[in-house]
Amino acid sequence: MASIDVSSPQSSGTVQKKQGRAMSDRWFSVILILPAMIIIGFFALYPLFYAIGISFRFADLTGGGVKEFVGLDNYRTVLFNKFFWESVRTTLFFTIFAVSIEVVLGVFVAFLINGATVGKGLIRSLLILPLATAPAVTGLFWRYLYDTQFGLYNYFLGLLGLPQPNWLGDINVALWAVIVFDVWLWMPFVALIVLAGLQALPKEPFEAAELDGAPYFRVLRKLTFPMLKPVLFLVIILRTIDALRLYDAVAVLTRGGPGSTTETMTYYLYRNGLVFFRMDYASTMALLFLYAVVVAALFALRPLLNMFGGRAATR
Amino acid sequence: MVFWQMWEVAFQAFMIFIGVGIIWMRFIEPLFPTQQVSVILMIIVAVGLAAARIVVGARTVRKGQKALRDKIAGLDEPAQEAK
Amino acid sequence: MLERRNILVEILRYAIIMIVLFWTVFPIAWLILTSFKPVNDIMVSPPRFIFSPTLENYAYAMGKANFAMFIGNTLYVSLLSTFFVVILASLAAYSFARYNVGMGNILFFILTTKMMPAIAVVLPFFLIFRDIGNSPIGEALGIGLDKRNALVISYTIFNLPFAIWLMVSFFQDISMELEDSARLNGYNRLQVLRKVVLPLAAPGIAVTAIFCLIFAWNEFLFAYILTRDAARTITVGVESFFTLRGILWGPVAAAATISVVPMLIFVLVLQRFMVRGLTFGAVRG
Repeated sequence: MASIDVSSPQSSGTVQKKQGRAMSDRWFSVILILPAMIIIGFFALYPLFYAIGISFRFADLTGGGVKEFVGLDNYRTVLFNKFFWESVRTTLFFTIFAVSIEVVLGVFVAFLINGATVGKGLIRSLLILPLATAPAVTGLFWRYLYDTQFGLYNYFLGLLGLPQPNWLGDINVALWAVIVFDVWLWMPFVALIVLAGLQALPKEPFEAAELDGAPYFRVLRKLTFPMLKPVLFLVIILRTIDALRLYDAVAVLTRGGPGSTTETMTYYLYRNGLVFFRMDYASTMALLFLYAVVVAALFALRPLLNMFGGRAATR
Repeated sequence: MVFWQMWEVAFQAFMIFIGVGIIWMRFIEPLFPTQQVSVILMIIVAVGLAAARIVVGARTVRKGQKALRDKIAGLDEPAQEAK
Repeated sequence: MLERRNILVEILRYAIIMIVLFWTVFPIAWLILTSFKPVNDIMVSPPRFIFSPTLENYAYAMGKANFAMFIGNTLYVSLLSTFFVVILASLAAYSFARYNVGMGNILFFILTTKMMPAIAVVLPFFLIFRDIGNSPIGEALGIGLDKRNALVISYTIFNLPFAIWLMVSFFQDISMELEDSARLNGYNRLQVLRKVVLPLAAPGIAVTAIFCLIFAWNEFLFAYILTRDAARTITVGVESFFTLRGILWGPVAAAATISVVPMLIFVLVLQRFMVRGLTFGAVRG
């Protein structure tokens, strides 16, 4: 039964009832989130503190496990390690090119689809397909597609008279092979989201512009793109975050090779932790990476959350 | 609400503290003869900058609080008079 | 004059769209095709488009490589973890959506957990599960390295933040008046939740569940690192056809098809909701 609080003579009944209700509301809300928060807290924070702990110790798992305290030495080792910085460079190179290509192509395709009259639903259904797959699985199959002898891609390139690179074996091409795979996988994602954004735009400004006889590119520049800014920003952020963490594709397509030309930061981290079993270096790198990401997020996410107004705005 | 704002500031200060440490270890430490001296100086600088952020942040929060209080006081007066 | 230009533009538009669609769908189609090809039609140059289909790759995968067990593991892990996530996340999301308990910062924290490189989380998990696996609790609950329940726990944890965020956006769509009038009519909070909110939120919950299912089904890293033989899943199992002579592409294609096709079907059914899920509820498809 609903409880009706006795109102004090001073304030009105509803205010008192709201205050009383607010108190037990608080309890209810806290109890609801408790299980989820405990799990997230424990399993997200515990590894974090664990990693912090290991990063200050010597931890070569082949030598028997976590050992003595070494202060900041692991950090110094990692910060001066040229392979580490190589992997960072590779990751940045990959991220910048993959995300740019995906976004540019995706936006272009979104506009194409938006203007289409028939078949939008079918097109969207087909574009979603790569996203339903596991990159680790399709990526592995792309090794076959990239094969210089039996692979389909070089066959098609040959038919068109184009050069047929050694996708996975040439040190200059390998990273691009990964980028192409990533573009294949995520460009539809960008296109779908931008398309949704386009379709959500209000019609009136565009109708007014058409009545005024405004040329197509002027409308694009002054009207469409400014209104699409939140969506574009969101898409770029989402893709950048994921691209920086690239692991699956590298693990199945190239294994970091040839040499270490496709070794992203996360892959190098994996190699240190589970191939060389230097958990200390791996944890240190992971923390440095986390730091970089959090700092970037502080700069990029505030404007993002504000752009989306009431839905996810802070306080 | 004050809690979250201060948390914001404290978090940023913490990030600054770590950031100084990282940059120091990579670029400035090699210039020092002994590691001890470098680490001590690093801690001083890092804490200093972080503390500065907190001080500036706290001041901004306090100003915001005051402005809010004034605004509320301004709204309350006609209501008080109506009572 | 204008009519002709318009038609040309339309033709060009659809031509480009066709090319894009072909480029997008073709690798998957080729994958499925290859899974039905006999070996001699796979390792051949130039590639063969016409062939007589065979099930030998599937037979090999199921038989020699114990793939049926992998399928069982994946089903168990995906369904169970999704079940836990949905329950925990809907409760928490409801709370966040209605009562606004420090939502802004907690959401930021949630997004940060998404940003952590999975590797950074897996390594401590590896050590934690190793220790738990050797302890009596672990033995009793079936938790430890190369145990399915370890994956269930891991996926539940990993999916929770995303599921919560997504469901918050769905709960916010439900108007408060319905709940308030139910409260006024004498229902307590729990009853309101059960009788009013959950039925309305059911589609949102279903969508979230599907996303979590797809994620768990396709997950690679945790499965790769936390399992070896007994708890291995499909996604990792696809890699188990490497021989000294090279990769057996036929069985790989069969395994990959098994991995990919169920999710393709799911996604085709749900495509209306995908955009909302993919953008964490920020953009409504």
